[in-house]
Amino acid sequence: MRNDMKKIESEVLDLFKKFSGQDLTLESEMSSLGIDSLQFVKLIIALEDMYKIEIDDETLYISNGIKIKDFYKFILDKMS
Amino acid sequence: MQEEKTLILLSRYELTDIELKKIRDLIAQGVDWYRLFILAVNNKVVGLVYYNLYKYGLFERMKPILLYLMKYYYVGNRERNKFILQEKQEILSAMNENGVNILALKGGVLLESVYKDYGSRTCNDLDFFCCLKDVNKIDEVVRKLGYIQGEYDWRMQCIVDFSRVKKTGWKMNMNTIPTYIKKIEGNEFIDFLELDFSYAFDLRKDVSISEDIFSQSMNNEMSTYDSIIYLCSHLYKEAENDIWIDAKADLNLIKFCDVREACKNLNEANLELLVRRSMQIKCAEAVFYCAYYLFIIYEEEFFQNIMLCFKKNGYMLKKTKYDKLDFMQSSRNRFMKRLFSYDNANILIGENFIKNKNIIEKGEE
Repeated sequence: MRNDMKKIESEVLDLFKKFSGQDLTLESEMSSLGIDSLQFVKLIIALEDMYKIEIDDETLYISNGIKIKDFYKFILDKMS
Repeated sequence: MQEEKTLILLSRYELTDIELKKIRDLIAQGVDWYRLFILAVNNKVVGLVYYNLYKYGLFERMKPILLYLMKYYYVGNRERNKFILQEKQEILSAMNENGVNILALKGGVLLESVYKDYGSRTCNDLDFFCCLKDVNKIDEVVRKLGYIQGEYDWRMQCIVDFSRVKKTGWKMNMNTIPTYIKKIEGNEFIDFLELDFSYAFDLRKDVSISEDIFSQSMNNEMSTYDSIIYLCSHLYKEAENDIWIDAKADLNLIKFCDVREACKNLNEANLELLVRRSMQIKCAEAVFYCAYYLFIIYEEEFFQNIMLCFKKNGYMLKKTKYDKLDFMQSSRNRFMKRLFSYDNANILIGENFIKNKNIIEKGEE
């Protein structure tokens, strides 16, 4: 389980880094990624497709004010 | 500017004797009624213009064909609005039965409290305010009433679902739930009805004030102050945002007219409360912006007093993304030109906007 968590953490960070072109941590805030709104939408869709999940509405509605770790936790919840 | 001046004077639900005299004088000097009609259509005030022209017998020198056009618009408006208000009651009842608290907003409230003649105000959809925590329950209730999230395809005359990109982008960028829509059968005045649920006042999506807004509300409506502040926030959001500028829906008279009419029962004493409340819920910028332009458009002291009250409370707005609020004649002229022009896309800032918009609209690159 611990290995899975590390693997997911690394995959999630890689995906966010690919879109933003920046070095990021789980504490990085979405508003600091420096990507436009369309890139942000594409990132979320890529995340959903990667883990075959659907990010819940409440998370999406306030997505600009949250951190990468919130998406990471959401994925872990869905996978458990 | 003869037609613009006449239109501003006619864009109010009640006219004073002085305003009526000004209108009669302008008509006597000569008004191009066709031009005024087009301006009224763009500003969504045809119903209000017809209501006043009819009420005060101001049809002289207008060609009958134009008169009938306005009359049919007014009658259509009235019949549509009767249906929309019935639907509003059904939605509120269904929500109450399911333990969901929502508040009616904008046209759905103003039609009953301000524009009591249903033909006088255009109402395209029904707007509500909700708590973010209730979005799933709201979804369940409105789907049972036959609504889905999508848009109307005029060519095929049917409703189509939003694309995944559009729906996701909407949730992430708007302060409303993606629009619900239902096709209406058996009513020739309305083909479909859209429902918009806002969970925040603007695109900053500050949901921390929701509980306070609900605690001050009564009978499924916001308090007088919150309701005015919401109207201002809505106007300001659309005036300053690329999406609405591109959609040619950034500015129009009906939005200013709504705020002005909603403020009509306020006096100097509760003006202070309005200003303080707007500062408390972090919407001072929107209220100041509306007061500034209402003063420019309608030239009424009340709106200048709102600005003075802000100043007394230590707040001033001098510049926004697209406007300078400096009281200079050149800035005023630029704003009036923007208000009455059909398309303001030339002022858009940002190269990526159109590209991104097309991708979101089509759902693909």
